[in-house]
Amino acid sequence: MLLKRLTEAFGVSGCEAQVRDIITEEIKDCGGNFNVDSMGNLIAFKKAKKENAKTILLSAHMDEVGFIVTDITEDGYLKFATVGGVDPRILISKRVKVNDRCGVIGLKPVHLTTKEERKKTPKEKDLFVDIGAKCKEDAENVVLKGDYFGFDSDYTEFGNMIKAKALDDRVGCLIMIEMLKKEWDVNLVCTFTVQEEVGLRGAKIAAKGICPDFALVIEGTTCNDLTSVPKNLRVTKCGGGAAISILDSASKADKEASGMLINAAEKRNIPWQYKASNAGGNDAGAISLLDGGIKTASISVPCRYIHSPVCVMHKADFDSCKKIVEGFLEDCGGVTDND
Amino acid sequence: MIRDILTTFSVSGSEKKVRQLLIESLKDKFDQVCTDCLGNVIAKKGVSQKLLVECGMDSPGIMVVDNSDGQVWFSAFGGLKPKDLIGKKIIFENGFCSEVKYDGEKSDDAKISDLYIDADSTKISIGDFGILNHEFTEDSESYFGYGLKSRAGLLAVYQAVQDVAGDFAVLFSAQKRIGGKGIKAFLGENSFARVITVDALCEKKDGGGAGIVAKDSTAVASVNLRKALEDTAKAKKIDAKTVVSDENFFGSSFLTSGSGADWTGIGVLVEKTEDGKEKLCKKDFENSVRLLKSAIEKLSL
Repeated sequence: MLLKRLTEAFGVSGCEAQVRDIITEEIKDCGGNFNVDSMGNLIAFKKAKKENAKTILLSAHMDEVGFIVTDITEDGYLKFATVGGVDPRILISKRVKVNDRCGVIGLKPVHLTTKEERKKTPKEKDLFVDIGAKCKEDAENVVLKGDYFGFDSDYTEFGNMIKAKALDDRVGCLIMIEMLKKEWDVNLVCTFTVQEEVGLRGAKIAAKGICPDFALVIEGTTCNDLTSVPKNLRVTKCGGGAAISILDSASKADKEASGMLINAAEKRNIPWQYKASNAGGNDAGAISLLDGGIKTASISVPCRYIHSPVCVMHKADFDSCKKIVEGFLEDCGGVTDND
Repeated sequence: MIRDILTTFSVSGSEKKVRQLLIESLKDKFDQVCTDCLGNVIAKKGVSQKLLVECGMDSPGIMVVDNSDGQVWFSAFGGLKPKDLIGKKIIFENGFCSEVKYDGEKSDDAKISDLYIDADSTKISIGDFGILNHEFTEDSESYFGYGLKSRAGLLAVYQAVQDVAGDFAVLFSAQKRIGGKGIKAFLGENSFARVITVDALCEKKDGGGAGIVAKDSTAVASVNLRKALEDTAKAKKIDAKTVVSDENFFGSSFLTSGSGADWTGIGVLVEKTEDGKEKLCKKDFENSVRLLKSAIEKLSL
């Protein structure tokens, strides 16, 4: 299953090659062209069969949050820093994969901690990764200072839900792959971007100069529909349909583009919801400012426990997101107004 | 027109009404007035436009995130804090206006997520935007109201560019209160030799008058351009003071635009009154307008 392969691949920001290789393999026979730029963004083009078609840019990021080795102790443990937004409270006792070697994030045993210590969240600097090395030299046979590593978490389905790491944003990558496998009456440009989690860096380069009529960023987004959380802080609801953004910390969605998404959903009876929060941000923040401004909107699959090894999404939300993007592309298929 | 500029609904990303107002009133006074994809209004006089004058046209606001059980819950953006909102009237684009409520005991402890507005879902929907009600009062010396800060720069620029001669462009920028999005998009395609940004200045200056920005929160102003404004003020006997400001005039964005630009700002002094309102002193405002007008005449030709 492609989503399983995509989410289990390693792709911490700046090291997206495994993910890019899977995507490249999937799209190489789609009938379009693609190239990889100097940062590692994968850019795919598929021309419309008819003349004067609109150009639509779809964008999803390949990278995920993770870690970088900052030091190796004399007794073979790895010290690390996080890459992208990771809550230190979720790190203890998690499995990680360090250059194909299993590792665990450790902390001293509960027996030896004081009451006060147990009340506090350990700081990143107090944590370490145990890769089973005997000493520094032994560890250096596996990993070197400056190497990246990521969560080790398998793809699992339970009920109507999927648990995996990096659903943000391998779901977006998967939807774009599926769009590239179809024929559209628009010129389709898909940017699979790098380094979104560390400052929207890849998109600033990948989408420059394309000048599309509209851009859609396809994402995994925050879902806080947990028991005891007040309704006004839930952001999205798992199973409530794809989430269409209004405003976040990186961008204000273009009204025309987001209106077209809503219209595509409404007229096809596809469930959707607003992303009801202005927290967070995505590549739309970079893309919307390029080339004098691009009409950009974001549509996302709600993901519980995002930026953790156990992101959870509802299968129906993925279907909703995919169908709305399809509807959007169909609706854009008319002849463009531009000369 | 002052009332229209100050009170017309315009929130970051939804500046349509102010945009229309500006286009309509400036189209016969400029050689070209146009808009771009982000919603900026750009007005040009002359042929080469070496000077750019910039001001924002949006206000910070709130976005509705839940509207169940007869109450509207919201998030805030553009720097609005709970204390700016509690007990204040919020007006929505559809004209609905109501007060922000807080049920806690100490307003200092309030978070935005604790605040709400009484309204049923037929009036307000998730995703709707609201701003502080900009209705204001005035006496012979000042204007008083909420939200004057976000419109003071716009009003000063609007007044100054009405009949001034020169070869210059004006950027009425959209989405300024959410990170200068309009400015950043505009500068991706345009560059100017000199830029003057105009915005409110909420810091207490040593005396009144117009503020000439030597430094904002992002950058040090170009010395030559700042001195040119100081010399202009002196020559024209305009009451002005040089200020080092903690406010964001987006100096860094302009200084690093194109192959580099000279930049400084003009600050319009807006004070907070004891009851939390904002006060725009007419004399300070007039000095800012005169300084900008004189600067355009001197620097754009």
